[in-house]
Amino acid sequence: MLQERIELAASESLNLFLGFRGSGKTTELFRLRERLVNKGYIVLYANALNYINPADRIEISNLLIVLAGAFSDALQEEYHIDLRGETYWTRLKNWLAATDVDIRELSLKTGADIKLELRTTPSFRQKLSQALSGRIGELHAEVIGFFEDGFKAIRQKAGTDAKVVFLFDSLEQIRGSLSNEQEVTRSVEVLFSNNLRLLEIPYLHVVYTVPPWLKFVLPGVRMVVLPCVRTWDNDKERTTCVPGMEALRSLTGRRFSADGLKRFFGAEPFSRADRLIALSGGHFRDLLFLLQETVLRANDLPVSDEAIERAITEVRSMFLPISMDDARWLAEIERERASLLKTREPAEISRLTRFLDTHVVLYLRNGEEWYDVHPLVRDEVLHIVKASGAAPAG
Amino acid sequence: MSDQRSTFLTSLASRYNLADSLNWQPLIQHFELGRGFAFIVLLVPNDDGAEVCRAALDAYLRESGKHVQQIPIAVPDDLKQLAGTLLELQPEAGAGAIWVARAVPEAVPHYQVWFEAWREGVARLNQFRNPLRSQFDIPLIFVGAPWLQQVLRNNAPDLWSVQTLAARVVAPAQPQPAADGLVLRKEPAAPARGPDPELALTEANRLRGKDGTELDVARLLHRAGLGFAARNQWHETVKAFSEALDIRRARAASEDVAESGYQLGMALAWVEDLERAAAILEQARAEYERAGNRLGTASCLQRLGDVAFRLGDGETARERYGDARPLFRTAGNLRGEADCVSGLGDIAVRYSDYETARMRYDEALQLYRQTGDVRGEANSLSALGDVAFHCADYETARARYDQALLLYRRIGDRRGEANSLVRFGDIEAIEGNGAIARERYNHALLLFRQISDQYSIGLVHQRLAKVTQGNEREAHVAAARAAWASIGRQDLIEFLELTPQTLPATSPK
Repeated sequence: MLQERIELAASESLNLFLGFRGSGKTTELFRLRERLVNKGYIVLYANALNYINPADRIEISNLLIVLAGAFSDALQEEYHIDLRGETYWTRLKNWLAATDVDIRELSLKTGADIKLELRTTPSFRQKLSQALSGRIGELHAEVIGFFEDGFKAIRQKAGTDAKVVFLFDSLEQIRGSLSNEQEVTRSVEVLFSNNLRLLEIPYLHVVYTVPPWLKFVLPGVRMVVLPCVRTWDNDKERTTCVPGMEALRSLTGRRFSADGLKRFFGAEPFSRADRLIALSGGHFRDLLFLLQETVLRANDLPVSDEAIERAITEVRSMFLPISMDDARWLAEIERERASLLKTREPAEISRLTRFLDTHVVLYLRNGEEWYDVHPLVRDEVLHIVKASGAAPAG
Repeated sequence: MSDQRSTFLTSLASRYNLADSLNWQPLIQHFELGRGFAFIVLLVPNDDGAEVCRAALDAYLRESGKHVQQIPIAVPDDLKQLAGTLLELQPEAGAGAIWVARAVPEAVPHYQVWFEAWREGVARLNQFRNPLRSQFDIPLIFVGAPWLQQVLRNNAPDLWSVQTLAARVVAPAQPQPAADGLVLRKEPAAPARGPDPELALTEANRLRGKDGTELDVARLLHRAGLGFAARNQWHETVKAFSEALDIRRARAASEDVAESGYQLGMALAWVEDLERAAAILEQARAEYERAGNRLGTASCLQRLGDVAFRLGDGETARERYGDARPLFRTAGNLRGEADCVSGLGDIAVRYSDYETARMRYDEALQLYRQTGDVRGEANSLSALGDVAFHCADYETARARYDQALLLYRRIGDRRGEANSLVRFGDIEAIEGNGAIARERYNHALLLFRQISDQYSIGLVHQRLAKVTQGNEREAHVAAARAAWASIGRQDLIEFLELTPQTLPATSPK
């Protein structure tokens, strides 16, 4: 879908890519890079965590700087392009020196210092964003100017028709710590709700991986969401979805090899492995956990049913316990197959995000998007609700 | 006193026109009717104003064989020691009044030092109220800037309680010249570095004709417009935004249509196509409103106010700023609010209501400071300088322009820097320092050339023509004509040619 959007966009595009934790975002991003490179695109990749401290709030000024800096580094490292012998970091330092931003107070020696300090020193980040708060327009113009120069340099090297993609990964990892989670979350929300246009880069197709909860707080903004592999349909009986099951069988087969699969599960391997696949909820990481736990508990080959059940119990225990209140809410999701978000209140969004991040709630899609409770805990949820005699939350 | 200074004070005295001043007359009346000691406080804008008043009073007294006896106040200590000086003073024979003057405007850098000196001086003097009354049988006149009244009231209450007269004397404000097309531009400068317009046009041309890429072409043309605007290439700017707007009108969302309309409206205002600018901005406003974009709506209203103002429609301008201001406030955009307040200041200047203008610019200054908008702060200081300039308070004007100049230099705003230099030149020209005025104008000219601002280049040549003679003057007139011709400003050229000998008396807006 991302690839389609990039290919369909005539000259540039801004793409927000999100997936819940463990859904395989980075793997997908690398696959995207490979496919685009094969189609002749120039693809640059940067990991936000090399520039940003994920435990700290983020301001637009710092992000603009980091974007240009990361692009500059990728240009140098991946394509050996050095713009007039000057990295973005040096250019930034010169620009700061030419403005009224007091770089003495920022105690900088070289452009490289800025890169290092941005990642490691909270007080520096704060001082820099304060100093630039009244000059976002100018900073943006500078940053865009740098991207333009970079784009022209790429075209000079790779041809006048070269199309450029910039993948900016791991931005979704900004989530703060226990003490400042709300503040950091709020800073990310403000960043994308107020400054989305500033994140458009002329002539470049940019892909940002963003926190999944942005989908709930910015409902009008187009995002590409990486859903779980769907192994059942959105009907009352949860009819098995064959293509999804096949995809996960294929993944399982590649992990074990055809021969290994037969040795481990027996002559008809999927008659037994399918139980693990179905219980994974279509979530790669959970499927790998289930397989790994089964391997660890296998004393003989083929593995015994008892070992498989113990592995399932072990992985299920990672989701437990579930409180009465959460169980009632989850039971309602199970019944409605919807997010149940009634407001955009931070607490409500935070609860849904927490469950999506821990895969207790799964985001699925076939034509339309829907939600369901993870098959590993579905029975447990209904059991808690039934035992308490309470009706599901409505 | 040098001839130059003497000429300047004579010209300033004519501006003050004390003979017809309602504030000056009570003082003269006091001298006609009063006898013996009196404590008179005269509030003037600055030392030049004080000197005009002293000369006028001295001339009046000399008609009856008397004169003003001045207590020299050269340094702040002279004021601090004022009590001792006065208590030891024996008035000269024929002295008709004792004159203690030091009027330092709040805007000048050494104001605080003089404020302290006055405060300390009058505080010490306060206890000697009665000895003073018995020592002098002629009026004692303290002359200071308007803040002296508060200093006296707070620090010398006993002395203040016996004041006979407190008069505020200012030069009547000089109305805006009729030909006010020739004003310095103070629109916020476009970003120093905009997008590369040629690259944007190349990309747009590459996509032209390909189905489904119309909106991408519009976006690239819009980007080219921003790039041309940043480079002061206004006709190219208008062309790029016009084409972008045409495409977007047919296909794009309201907000994108509004954005191109807004930018086109601003560009049209730059090329003085004001009627069309107003129409386009009005359409952009409607589009922003349709899209529910409050900030965009407010920005259009504010620009509509600017355009109405330049069309000479102060009432509409006031309405537009008034409509925009609460929208900016609701959207939490202090900078926009400050722009509107500043616009209201401009309107007050247009109607020669300088006191209101000063209050508006002061208010805008505070708002810009709150938002950290250095350019806005500099523009407000410059506007406050203009108000002082109109009121012939050149010391305050110079101080304000100085503050503005520092800020413009800090942020690398060459247009702002050049405008400040022009304003310094204007003050020097008025004070009769032609050589220094030329120096300032020439420096400004260099800066305007760097940013290719032909309008302002013409304006500086026009001013240079006023302070030069013969062939040099003709060369400046020709250069002004050429600069304005290059941007199609026939109206300005005609204005120049209508008055070949006496070039228009222009002054900063």
